Amino acid sequence: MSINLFTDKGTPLDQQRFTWKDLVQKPLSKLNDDAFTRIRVILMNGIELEAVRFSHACARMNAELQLPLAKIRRVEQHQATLVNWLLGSDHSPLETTIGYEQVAIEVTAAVALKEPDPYLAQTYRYGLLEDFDHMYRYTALLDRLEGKDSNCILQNYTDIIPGRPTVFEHRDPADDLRFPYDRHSAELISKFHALTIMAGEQQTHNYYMNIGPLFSDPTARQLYAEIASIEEQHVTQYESIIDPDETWMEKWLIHEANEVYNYYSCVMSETNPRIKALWERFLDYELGHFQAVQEIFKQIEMRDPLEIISGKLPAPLEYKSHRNFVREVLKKEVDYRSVGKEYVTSSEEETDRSLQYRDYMNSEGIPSETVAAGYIYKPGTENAMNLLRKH
Amino acid sequence: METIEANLGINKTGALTSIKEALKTKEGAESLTTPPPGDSSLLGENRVLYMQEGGPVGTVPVPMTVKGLMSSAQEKLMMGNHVFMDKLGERIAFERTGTRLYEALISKYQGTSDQEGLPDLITIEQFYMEELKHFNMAAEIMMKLGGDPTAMTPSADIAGVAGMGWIQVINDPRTTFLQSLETILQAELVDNACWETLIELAANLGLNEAVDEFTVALQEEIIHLRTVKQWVTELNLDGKVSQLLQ
Repeated sequence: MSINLFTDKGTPLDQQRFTWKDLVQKPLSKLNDDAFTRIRVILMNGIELEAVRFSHACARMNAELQLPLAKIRRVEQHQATLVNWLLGSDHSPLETTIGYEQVAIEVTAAVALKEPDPYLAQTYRYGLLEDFDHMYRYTALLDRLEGKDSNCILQNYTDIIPGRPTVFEHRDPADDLRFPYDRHSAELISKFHALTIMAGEQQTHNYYMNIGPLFSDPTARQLYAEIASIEEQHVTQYESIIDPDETWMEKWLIHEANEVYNYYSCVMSETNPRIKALWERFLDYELGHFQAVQEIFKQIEMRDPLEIISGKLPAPLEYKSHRNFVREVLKKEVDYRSVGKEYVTSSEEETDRSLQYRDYMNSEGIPSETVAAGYIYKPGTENAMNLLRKH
Repeated sequence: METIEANLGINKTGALTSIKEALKTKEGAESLTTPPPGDSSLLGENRVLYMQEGGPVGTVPVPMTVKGLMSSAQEKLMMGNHVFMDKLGERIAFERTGTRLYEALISKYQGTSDQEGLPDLITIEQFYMEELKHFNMAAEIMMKLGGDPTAMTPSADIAGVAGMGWIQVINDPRTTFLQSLETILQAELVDNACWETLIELAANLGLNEAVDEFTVALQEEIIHLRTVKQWVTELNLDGKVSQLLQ
């Protein structure tokens, strides 16, 4: 199956409708569905939420676009709802957190491997090792708070090992910013990657900010406060790699194209037929959005959208385990640090501003260290005997 | 929806779903983890630290009537605290939530395709009505003592937090009648124990009318518990409840 953004027209905007019943469908099964189905659900919620947030920002700055933005945004709001409500209520907030971090690891790894720009690929690998560490800390919390094994969510696809320790991830904002891609020379896939990962990090940040206060345990509350701060840094990092000189219309068009690309990737990899049908429906919806937006683009910018977007979509995002790649990156790059917008290979080279900021933040205890004190992941939780031995 | 759903299927949560990959996870964790110093007791220490800095979830409301102030003063004088009003507030809240749990159980009954072997719906509805009656009776006693039956006391709040899981399970369209009934069993176990405590507290304060009314409620709750427990056992063992019970 191949998609052409300009010739595949999708579902016309005025035929994109929902009912409340339609928005609230049978959720995926935490026990029986594949972990990658949950990964797709979480990521696509993030993609849609970014669409809504971007659309609001754009509307605040462009009076003449307010109505077309509002029309498409209404559909995207309902797409986000339908997708996010596919998460079953038997996921505790902490189990969903494990799912979020699995998204951050497996999707960022897929993007890092495919990214053609070496600096951007380095940026993804840098962020990857930080989210990888969050998985280890949250796994310890899930075990020590709820007595549960995070592998029930991860389904053997993802390692549970410390990454770049969260304690070292706290940086001065000046060391979080990155160089942006050049909107004229960057490949389309680079633009998709940047938007996709930024969207994922943004929803993770919002999620942690919302659920952190739901916990009663002080260490849990602190850990969410600490990791939410890192997710905020990650949003800062990833939004800075996007060329700020893109016009509003350029950004809108790339957003819609990226949504098409992501639903296309979901369709190509989904194993649950019912969920796959939803991805196909929303792929058609997004093609409809793209059609509408490219017409507005032509009217406003008086130029051909083909100047910034090629019709043929890049190869789909790969939803698979990246265990070996992540271990390789971990081995080589765990000590990397960012100094301004550059990366250095040794922790010795960090800036004083980051060290000072970190020292003060960590001066009354470090939740990510407390939660994982002495913790080494074991199947069945740390209190279990050796459960995988042969009988 | 079947009454009992414990069929074999494609559950993917276990490590043995893919032993080869599970061993990679296990061995990777063993060889590549250098954990921070200490152990899980640090979480306990942090709890203690915050306990020392923190206060309670809230307080028992100050009565707004003269009668209420007198009752409150009497309890303080006799018991040294306001536990009775706190626990009475808890029973009001618990019974009120209990009626909603039974309403959800009735939905679960109605949504079960094969109702053969299920308990008699009339009995379930009777229990529901009794929970409703207990709620209003407890609220009446609160009013007679000059308290505010609409206020959320600390114990009412905590009971609500503790019961959040029951509400999630019983209202989930995917759970079976039996899974929901087991949730009711948990609630009835707690309910029985709490009525017993409340009766003791009322007796200590010499609230004879309350003791009498609470005792009637407890007798009904004992029947709820015994019946629900037996239904749960029989449905698990035989897939149906015995006619004798009904």
